[in-house]
Amino acid sequence: MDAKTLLYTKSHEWIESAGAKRKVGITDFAQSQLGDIVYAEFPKPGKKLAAGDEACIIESCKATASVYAPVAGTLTAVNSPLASTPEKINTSPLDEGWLFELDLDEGADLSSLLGLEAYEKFCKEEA
Amino acid sequence: MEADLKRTPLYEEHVAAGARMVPFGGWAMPVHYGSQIEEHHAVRKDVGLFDVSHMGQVFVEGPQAVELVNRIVTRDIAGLADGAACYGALCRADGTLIDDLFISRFTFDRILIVVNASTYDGDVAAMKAIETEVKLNAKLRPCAKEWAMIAVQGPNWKPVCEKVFGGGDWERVEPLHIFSMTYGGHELLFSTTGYTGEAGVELICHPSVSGRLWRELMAAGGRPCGLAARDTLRLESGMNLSGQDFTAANNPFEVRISWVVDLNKEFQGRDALVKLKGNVARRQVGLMPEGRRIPRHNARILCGGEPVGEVTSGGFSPTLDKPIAMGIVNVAQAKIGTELEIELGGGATTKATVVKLPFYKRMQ
Repeated sequence: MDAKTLLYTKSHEWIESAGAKRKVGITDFAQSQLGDIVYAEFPKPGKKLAAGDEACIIESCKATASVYAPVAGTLTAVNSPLASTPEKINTSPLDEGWLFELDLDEGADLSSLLGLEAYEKFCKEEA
Repeated sequence: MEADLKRTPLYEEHVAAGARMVPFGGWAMPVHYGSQIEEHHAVRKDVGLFDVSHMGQVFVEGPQAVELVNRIVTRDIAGLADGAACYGALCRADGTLIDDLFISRFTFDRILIVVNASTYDGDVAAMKAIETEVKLNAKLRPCAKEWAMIAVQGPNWKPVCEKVFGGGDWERVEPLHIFSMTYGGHELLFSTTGYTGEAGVELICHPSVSGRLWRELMAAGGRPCGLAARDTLRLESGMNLSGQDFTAANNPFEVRISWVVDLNKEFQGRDALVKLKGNVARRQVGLMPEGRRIPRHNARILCGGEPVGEVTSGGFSPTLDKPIAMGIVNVAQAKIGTELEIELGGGATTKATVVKLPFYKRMQ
């Protein structure tokens, strides 16, 4: 996944920028803040989520973190191999460490999502 | 990183090695150098290095050093041999814990006490008050600033030390001992103690030679490890973290360190502890959660929906590849095999069973 083509949230999720069904994950900044990730807990596919709803939970050695739906949609798939290899979220947050797939609601509001440059600027301010 | 944090003499070494630095007990300390899980395994299987220069040293010197230390700590050290070290505690008059500590005897008139970083000032004040009160022919000399400290922990600690310090009869070096040697023209205290559940040594040296020592230990095969790995290593080993697994609200009997309380001698808190013995309402337990959600520090422990205690330390055990926790619960719920629930936040809970501590014990 090319970081430049993704959209970002201020809660450090990324989402693909095109298509009806889009993969979602956490950013490299988020994984580095969390440290070693040891578990990801997903809901059953089919769950409807509003923008900002908790979609899954990540346990790192350091802390428990919620991952939120960047936009409204239905969770259609989860990255099930992460059950045995949660460390992929650390080593490959934008590719093998993707978390779930979201089927966007019609007319879902993407206006609050950030491009890479704006997101990186936001991280610098937060750090 | 806040500017008022204290830096150990090894600060630049950590930054150069890519450590993530965090505040701990008023100090800027390395939390990990990349992966805390890999660092944890390195200590269990090979050898890890920890900068523990933030810890505090207090020497007790004079003809009655043994008597003075005995008035300060819960442990009876009258029988502690020259060159031997032991674990103990410092209590208030009401029997509650101020800190846990290590006591090492060089000779009858020179004893070293090593205490935790965040409690150093309070410990020193409490010890000085006892010193003033008992009027013995011995003096306390707090000197944390004069010492750096590096822990070398793991099954291969002896080959690493042999490369750095040279040949010798390493087979004869036993756990819980201390001796003084020279390194880089300064005294170095070689203390076979630690906080990981593995064999190892804590090297207490002059700050000016600590960087060189750290680099030599690394070149000899020691892997730098941060506070995060140190925390999971000690948690697997069922060791208390001062200020977290016990606080000013707890006495030694509640947190599984009755064995360091020698009631047949005089020390601060002794009279209160005589009354508390066999009379505690809460006790520390090991908790084995179901599933892979991790209970965290301060999470409530429930029994039949009612709160019965709190998690004091919760984390992921790299050795067991699952979550583990310690907590303090009412004695009615402290029996091995008791099934409890732990809150995870957001209304979720996990089932957990009371288990025997420690979670991990090394093969002798």
